[in-house]
Amino acid sequence: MLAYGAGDLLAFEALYRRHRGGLYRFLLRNLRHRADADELFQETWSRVIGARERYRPDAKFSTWLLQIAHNLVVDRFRRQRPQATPEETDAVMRTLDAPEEDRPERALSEFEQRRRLQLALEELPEEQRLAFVLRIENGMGLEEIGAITHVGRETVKSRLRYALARIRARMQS
Amino acid sequence: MTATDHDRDLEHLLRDDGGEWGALYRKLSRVEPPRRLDRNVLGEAARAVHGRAPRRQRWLVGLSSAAGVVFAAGIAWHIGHDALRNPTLPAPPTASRPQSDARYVPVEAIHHQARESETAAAPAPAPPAMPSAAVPAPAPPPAPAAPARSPEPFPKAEVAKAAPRQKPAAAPAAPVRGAAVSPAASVPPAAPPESVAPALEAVIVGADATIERGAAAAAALTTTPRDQSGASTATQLLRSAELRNDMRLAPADWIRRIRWLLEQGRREQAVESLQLLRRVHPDLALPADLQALQ
Repeated sequence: MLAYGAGDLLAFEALYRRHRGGLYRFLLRNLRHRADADELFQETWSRVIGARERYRPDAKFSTWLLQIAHNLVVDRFRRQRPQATPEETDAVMRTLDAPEEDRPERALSEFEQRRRLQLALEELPEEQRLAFVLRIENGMGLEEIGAITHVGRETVKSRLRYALARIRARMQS
Repeated sequence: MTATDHDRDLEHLLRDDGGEWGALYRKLSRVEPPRRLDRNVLGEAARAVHGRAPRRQRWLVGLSSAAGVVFAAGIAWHIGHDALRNPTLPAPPTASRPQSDARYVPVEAIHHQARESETAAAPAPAPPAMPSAAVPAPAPPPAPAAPARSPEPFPKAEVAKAAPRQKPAAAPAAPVRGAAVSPAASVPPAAPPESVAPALEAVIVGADATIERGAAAAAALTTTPRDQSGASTATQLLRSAELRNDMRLAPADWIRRIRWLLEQGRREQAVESLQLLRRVHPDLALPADLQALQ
């Protein structure tokens, strides 16, 4: 990022390629609509580009990047609280999950597992889902999740515990 | 389910692989952003670096433009003032009202029919009641000499191209920020734009210095006898520096540069430069010969 701030475009490309997938999935899992994820994905990077000359490496770049994205997501939640119906969730999941080449009898059970996990994620309260996705998709630790979501470590643990309890209940239903 | 079970779940989740939850989550497809977004983001990043002057340069440009306007207005006012004080002076010819224009009727000629033929032959004196008509448009300043473009589009030592621009006194080794601020602070508000130009030049030269130092180091590496891997690294560094310089070129110059690279047999670098050109200027229509180059 510092190299890009000094005008090195190739450095930005390397940075972008490393983080594009994780950021996009973080947005998509939380926002659930491709159009919203696309919009905030672009907005997040626009802010990174705009801040290139002010950037100081106080934290890992990925933490900073997800902090920007998290703030945008929370703003979006505040403006329009999207509540997807189970039918919409199924439709999204079919869009997201490409067909696999597994054997049919096994694929069915995995399909069901994925479907339930997807539904469980959809049904989580926003704060719990944000924490869970940051952990499971982006590999963030408790402190990093706390820094991104502006809460303490214990709050993060609590949110993750509740999230897991809800997911497990959904998986066993 | 007990609190202990929840703690165990959390413990599993916090493992490096995310435990069973991680395994289950990884079964969901790994969606990637569409290429359209890649193009948009990379294009915006390139434009931010390539197409826009840094903020400290922009205000200098604005200041020089304002100074130029004040300077031109001062000249115009001065000439108009002289015309008012000396009404006997013949009106200077203006481009907007040629004497041969049949639509123009001098004011005095209406009241002195007897002198009609005389006024038609000789230029009428400027009417004092219309001083603004006597003010000529300020003479356009002499156009700055366009930088002579080398017939050879891009010499091999492209990375050192700013070296001739680096005047001995105008390009101190001080950081860019200092170079940008100190000359501007000494520029009076109504100074002619010429006094700002060296400061701008110094800023540009200073900004180029970083890349050029890297390139010079790379060039030095190539000329120093080293092992094979060192030379290869130096070549890559040099190429990287050249590619960055390519990004500073206008699209037409960039295309000439790519063609020149092809002529030199440096096809791989030409392809890289072309890919970069496409990313920086996604809407640019490429000529046919370059469209075929992949």
